[in-house]
Amino acid sequence: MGTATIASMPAVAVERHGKPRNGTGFLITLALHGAIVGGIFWKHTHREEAHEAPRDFVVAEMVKLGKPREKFWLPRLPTRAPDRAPPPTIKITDDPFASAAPAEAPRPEDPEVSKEVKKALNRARLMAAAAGDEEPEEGLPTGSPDGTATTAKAGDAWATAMVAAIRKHWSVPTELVNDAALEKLEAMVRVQIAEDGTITSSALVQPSGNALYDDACASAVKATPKVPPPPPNMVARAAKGVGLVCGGKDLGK
Amino acid sequence: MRCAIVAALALVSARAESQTGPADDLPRIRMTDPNRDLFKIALPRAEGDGAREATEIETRDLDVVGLFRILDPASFPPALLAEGLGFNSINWSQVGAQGVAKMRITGGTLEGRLYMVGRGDAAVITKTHKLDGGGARSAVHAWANDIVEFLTGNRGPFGSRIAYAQTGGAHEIAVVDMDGGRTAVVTRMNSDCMLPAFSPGGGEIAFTSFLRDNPDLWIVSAGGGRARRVSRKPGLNTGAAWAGGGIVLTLSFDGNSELYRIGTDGSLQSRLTSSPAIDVSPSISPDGQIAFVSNRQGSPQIFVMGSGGGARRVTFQGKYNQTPKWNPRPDKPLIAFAGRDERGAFDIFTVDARSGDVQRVTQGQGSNFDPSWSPDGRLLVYASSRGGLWVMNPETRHEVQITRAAASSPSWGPAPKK
Repeated sequence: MGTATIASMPAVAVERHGKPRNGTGFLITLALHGAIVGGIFWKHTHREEAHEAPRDFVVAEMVKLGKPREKFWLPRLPTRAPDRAPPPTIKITDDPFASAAPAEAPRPEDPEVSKEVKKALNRARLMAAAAGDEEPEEGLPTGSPDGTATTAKAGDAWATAMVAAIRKHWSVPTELVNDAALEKLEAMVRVQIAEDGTITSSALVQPSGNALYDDACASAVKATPKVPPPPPNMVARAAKGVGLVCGGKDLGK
Repeated sequence: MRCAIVAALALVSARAESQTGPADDLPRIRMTDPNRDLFKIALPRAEGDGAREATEIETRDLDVVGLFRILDPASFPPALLAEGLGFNSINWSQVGAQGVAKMRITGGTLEGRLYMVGRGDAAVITKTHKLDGGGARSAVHAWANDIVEFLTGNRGPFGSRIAYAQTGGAHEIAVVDMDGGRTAVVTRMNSDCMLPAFSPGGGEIAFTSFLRDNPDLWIVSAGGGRARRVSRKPGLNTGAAWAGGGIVLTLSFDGNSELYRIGTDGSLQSRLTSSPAIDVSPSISPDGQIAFVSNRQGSPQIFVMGSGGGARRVTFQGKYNQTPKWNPRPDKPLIAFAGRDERGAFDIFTVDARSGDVQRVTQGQGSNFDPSWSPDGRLLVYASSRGGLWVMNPETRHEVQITRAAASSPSWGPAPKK
């Protein structure tokens, strides 16, 4: 309707000038203009009906704040500011006659320790976030279809703590197992755990194809003497053995 | 008929058994995102004669190669040190070891055993090496090579030697073991000597000396002795690189620096470059290509020339790139070089000769010059303004200083004979 009105206006103007020369060509031009104008009008009025093709979501990455590096220069290695311990806190005593506490000797900074502390805090944060999901009727995505919501949650909490205890000792050697290979490797170690959390036996049951990677998984379990005790409903299964899958491309980074 | 039924039943029961086998019915727990670190190895003190020296050489070797984090022996409980050549994987896992290497020297023989903590209590390799006149040194190098060969599939570079030019009081050519042991001065020129190059067989070293008031090319036996003058063209006779039966080097007798190929007797065989610019510092790839430095496009940059001629530029970053060295591994078309960055320091870089991808090796540690690859292509040796020669594994970025005395232009010799 709106389209027709707009398209007819130039035609009226032409008639008023009274000089139509080549009728066909001119009409084609008119029709084209009409179509373009009409198309724009239609597009504007029907915009909300357009919808995106269904696709996966993509996580965006934001560029870091800083100066762009000239491509001309030789590359630089990334460096990181060393982690620092928080400033010492002041201890306050209730005893008015207390003598001043001896000044603490400055602690040497150990980047390794700081790294471990940082990792532990991060893990604690992740675990706290997971624990905040209190939906007992619905369970968690990692739960078992067989279990009820409450037992599944208890089991997962134990598994998380168990994996955290073993992962501390899990170190895959650099260069000997390169980054490209690492993504594709997956090994399974059977771990048998007693009621008090002691690892009674472990064995590689599914090799990854890379012996050094398998060694790293097996020695991580061996280096872990004890994990948190399994919850009562898991004691029997833990004693029989659980399959600790090391790596895997589905969830691994 | 009855037989068949019994057989079928047996088959069914066998299948049922295999389905309840060890791996299938286990509840699975997934562990991802491992820590990444060097391989943690424990090197408890060797037993027997000269044990202390042998342990020191072993520790030094495995440190230089840049694959290992060597655990502090002070952290080993006495029970572990008392177990001799035997092994208890659970006990060693408690100190964080992933592997343990043990040595015993008795009756002129070194016995080495490597244990992997993840594989139980049996040794994964057991080797014996006879000691030679030089004590345990070469036997320990051979044992360290066994360890690296087991873990990487390639024999390690231990026992190989590095030639370099002294830049302190004397200016002779010297040779040192790759772990920094056994330094030997091989020339007696009493003049400036520079740019040594080990022959492919390791028997000779070509170098440039000003003994006759001109930078001539000389060759000396790697064991030392009287040097012979090979090329004495007026002007430069420098930057020798052994190529097949001959030597590629820079000559400037016609007034401009060009690359030539000569015989080891000094006979001129062919001219390789023809450009009004300066062409220097050749290095030969395993398949016969030549990398060199030229300022034909302005600043000094790395160029590569095939056997048929026709140089192409491979570095486009930085204003001053020099001293290219091809990686000897045929599967890795990498060229190491020294480049000056925007802060004015020289550092070691690598460039992929095919893709042009440049990777940085050193940074923020003074200036570093004159890289040279180990015979297995895993390590780089270079001179540093920090003093002496340094070795780094560019993959793990583990760096070790091997000599302290002022030195320049190291040339890493071939792998030792097995």
